[in-house]
Amino acid sequence: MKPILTVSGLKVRFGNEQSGVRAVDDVSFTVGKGETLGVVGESGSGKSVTGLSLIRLISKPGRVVGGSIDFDGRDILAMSDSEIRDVRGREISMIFQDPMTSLNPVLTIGRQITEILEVQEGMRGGRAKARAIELLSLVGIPSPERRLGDYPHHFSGGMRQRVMIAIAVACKPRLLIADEPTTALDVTIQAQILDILKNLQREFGMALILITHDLGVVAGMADRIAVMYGGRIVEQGSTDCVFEEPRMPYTVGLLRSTPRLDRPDEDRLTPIRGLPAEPVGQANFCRFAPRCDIAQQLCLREAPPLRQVRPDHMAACHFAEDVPTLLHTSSEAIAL
Amino acid sequence: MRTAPPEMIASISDLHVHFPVRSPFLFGKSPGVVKAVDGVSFDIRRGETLGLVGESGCGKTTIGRAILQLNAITSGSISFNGEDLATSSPEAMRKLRRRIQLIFQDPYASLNPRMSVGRAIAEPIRLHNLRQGEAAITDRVKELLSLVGLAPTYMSRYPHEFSGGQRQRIGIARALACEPDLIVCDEPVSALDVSVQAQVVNLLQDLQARLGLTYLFIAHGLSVIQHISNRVAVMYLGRVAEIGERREVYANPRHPYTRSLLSAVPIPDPKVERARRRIVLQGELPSPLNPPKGCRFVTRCPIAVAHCAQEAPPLTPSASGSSMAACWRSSEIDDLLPRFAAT
Ligand SMILES: Nc1ncnc2c1ncn2[C@@H]1O[C@H](COP(=O)(O)OP(=O)(O)OP(=O)(O)O)[C@@H](O)[C@H]1O
Ligand SMILES: Nc1ncnc2c1ncn2[C@@H]1O[C@H](COP(=O)(O)OP(=O)(O)OP(=O)(O)O)[C@@H](O)[C@H]1O
Ligand SMILES: [Mg+2]
Ligand SMILES: [Mg+2]
Repeated sequence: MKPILTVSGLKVRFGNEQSGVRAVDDVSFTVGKGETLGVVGESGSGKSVTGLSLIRLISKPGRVVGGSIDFDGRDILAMSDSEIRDVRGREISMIFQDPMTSLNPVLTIGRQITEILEVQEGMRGGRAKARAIELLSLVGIPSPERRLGDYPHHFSGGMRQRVMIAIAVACKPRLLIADEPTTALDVTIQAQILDILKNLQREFGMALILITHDLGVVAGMADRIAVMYGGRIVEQGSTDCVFEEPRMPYTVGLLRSTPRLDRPDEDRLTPIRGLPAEPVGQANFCRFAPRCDIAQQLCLREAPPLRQVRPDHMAACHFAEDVPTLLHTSSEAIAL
Repeated sequence: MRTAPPEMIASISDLHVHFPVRSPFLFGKSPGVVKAVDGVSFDIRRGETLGLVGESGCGKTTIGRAILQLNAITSGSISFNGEDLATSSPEAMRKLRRRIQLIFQDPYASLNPRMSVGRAIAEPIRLHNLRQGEAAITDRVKELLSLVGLAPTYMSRYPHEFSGGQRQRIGIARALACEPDLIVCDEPVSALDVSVQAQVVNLLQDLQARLGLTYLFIAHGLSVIQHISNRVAVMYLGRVAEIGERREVYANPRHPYTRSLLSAVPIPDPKVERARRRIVLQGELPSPLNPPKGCRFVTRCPIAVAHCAQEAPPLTPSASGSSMAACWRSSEIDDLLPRFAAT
């Protein structure tokens, strides 16, 4: 089956060729109809910029400098401004990472929802209001009919996030890009919201790109997973494959730095040492090498390409085959 | 005034923080009241990390802000080192303010976009006269930046040039600049991805050991709270549902809300996730404008009985005495709900 979204060789840069940040650097992936792709990775690795570029919301000094984005046979990057505005919100919708910057502080919550229903669906008056109430209760806002007249600052962080989800799914998009959609929420609500997203997917085949830092959330939600580092996808594959036997030392590091509820006696987390460097300039080396426990000379000379390491599993590491042995990551070893 | 025992750095006693809200446009004229914090008492012990966890909107930030005197208190009291914050003199207050710092939930909102990072960190140092002379201030800023794992060369950069994790480190550096005793950490790691989260958690633990800090650590992540806390308080809709030693609360939770929370925490293993049984909460989320009478959790509680809707349960100690839960059925809870649904 043809994927609904095909991204190939996407490059987004902030600034010029030499000193600009290569926020997204040759990224390729697909998302099938109704499928969930989990995107995880370091702060600054390019997850949000990737998401934003899919609906052409990259603002200056950033711009797309290469690659293509095909949405259901249409070239997103070639669309006119009015065409992309039509796609945005109705066919591809995005839940933004920072709900305070994406809700209008001077408009009531009710107005912000009815506005999108009006613009995108031509819904007005009582019908739009009834639908707004329905959407707010769908995302678990208590007494929604009484909260329509409230402003964003009357809501707690988590409630604003739920309002954002209500707005994003108002027009039943075919692809939803959810950038950290449950980060501010209590886990019982998170479980409900992830359920809501799953139901929306089942109901009308919505595909989902789920950007999150919570490996537990992707473990439970994603069919496939893409791990980003320094603007690149460094590991990609079925969720089961990647968790069972990660082949990129960065992914191993992520798993080891996550506190786990089922391991109450873990004394200290094992973070990845060092800091991520901003991806500036041409990388003819592995950007993770300075933080990697198994890096060799080769890693500093040559950028490892993202390559197939086993069925349904790709990794960008020169030593992907040796990772399980060198980092002791057979599933028992990780569990210890 | 209630005096705190010496090992307590702060005591919160029957705290109420209510917010008047404009009446919703369709209904009536009488303004409503959000009882954001409605009768909360707990102590914070010197040198400990007290984890504060609970639903969005349950009042965690409001408590944090009340401790920092950023929210007016409706009733009750908060004392710091035995001094009641409400009755201290302005001069004493100014000193106290420096010793209680906040690391914000939202690193974007906490930094002035037009102020370089160096200036942002230097500001409290100047304000409280903690270093004299430009050179000493600059040295201190550099020291603080490296203390939180950022290159001193970042001084001249502006907040928008940083990613979320870096901004949070800047927030920590800014708080540390004041040389505080107590830091209210309001969701300091929730916006960060895991490798950075682990560094910040380790950083906070190291700083605590090194500088003798006390933390009130607010988070919604039960795994992080388990990892970092000595004691844990679970809040629900303006009240404490359960509080106690970390081990006791996690291994032997006696409130149905705590049990539901633990069952809902995602675990980074697809096989474990597929095999898990969750306590799925049904029922209406109560509105803080109109909370249920009786137990606040009654509308969603899987084991509620008629009495629960009538009378609010008090916090009662567990058999071991190392935790307290506010549930009428806590003594029979093991027969009613799974303890921990990780496997
Ligand atoms: N407006 C901007 N100007 C300059 N650089 C930017 C801008 N926006 C993003 N960047 C850079 O692009 C890179 C990718 O940023 P992005 O926001 O996609 O990261 P992310 O993976 O979403 O991180 P986080 O987990 O912190 O949200 C970062 O190095 C960031 O500094
Ligand atoms: N200034 C205010 N005016 C009116 N209501 C407020 C105000 N500040 C907070 N509230 C309300 O008080 C309650 C508690 O809010 P608070 O921010 O303390 O929650 P929280 O537990 O920190 O939530 P989150 O996890 O989402 O940050 C919420 O119902 C919120 O809407
Ligand atoms: Mg982002
Ligand atoms: Mg809060």
